[in-house]
Amino acid sequence: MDQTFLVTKGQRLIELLDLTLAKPQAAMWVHYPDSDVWKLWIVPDSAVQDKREFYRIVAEVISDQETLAGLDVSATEFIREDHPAIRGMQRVLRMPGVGDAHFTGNTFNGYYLPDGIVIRMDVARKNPAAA
Amino acid sequence: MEFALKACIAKQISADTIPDRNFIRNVYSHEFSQLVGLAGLSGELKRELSNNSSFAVNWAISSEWLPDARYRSYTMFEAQTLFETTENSESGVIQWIRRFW
Repeated sequence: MDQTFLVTKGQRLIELLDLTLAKPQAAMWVHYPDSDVWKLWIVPDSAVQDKREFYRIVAEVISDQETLAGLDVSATEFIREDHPAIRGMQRVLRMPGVGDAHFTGNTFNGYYLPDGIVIRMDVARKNPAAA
Repeated sequence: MEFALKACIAKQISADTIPDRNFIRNVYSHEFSQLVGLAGLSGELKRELSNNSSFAVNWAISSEWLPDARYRSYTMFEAQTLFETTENSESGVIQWIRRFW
């Protein structure tokens, strides 16, 4: 898939989610090689613990925005902040705004990620001791 | 879900015709969004996602499953959640696909 599309849409979605209760702590596109699918992993604010609530917020944001055309809620995936890859990555990268940091074939905290693009990594903002 | 979407695709193939080779090759995909496109349901899906937030949640959770996850272990709770999103009688994913096969 066109990585410019992933970065542009991913950054826009995160900026719009910042205006909601889900305000993402971390977001990164992850490539699933078997199915050649990219999913935007999102760690929402700790105020949102229920994945049904999370997906409801994301679906509403996407359906209200023409700028997110081509993206649907199934392109995103709810990820908890204690996911091993997130815990591993937060030790090596801190990106509180929105950006695009590409990585290939890395293992984070024992979890292998073939390809990815980090849009935000700021999991420790509420709990610096977790970093 | 995959079989349900493939039933919708099969319905589009006319008898006594040989479908396009690329079309048939793509039918072997396991990826739900691609199969929705091949079934000609992308517009219907977009409408339903916009108009029915319960369906949107169910679609998102059921789409978490990918072939890459086939050997992953699921907890009882995760399995029940996945089952509920597909089989819910009001806004489950199978209920929606059933309208088109």
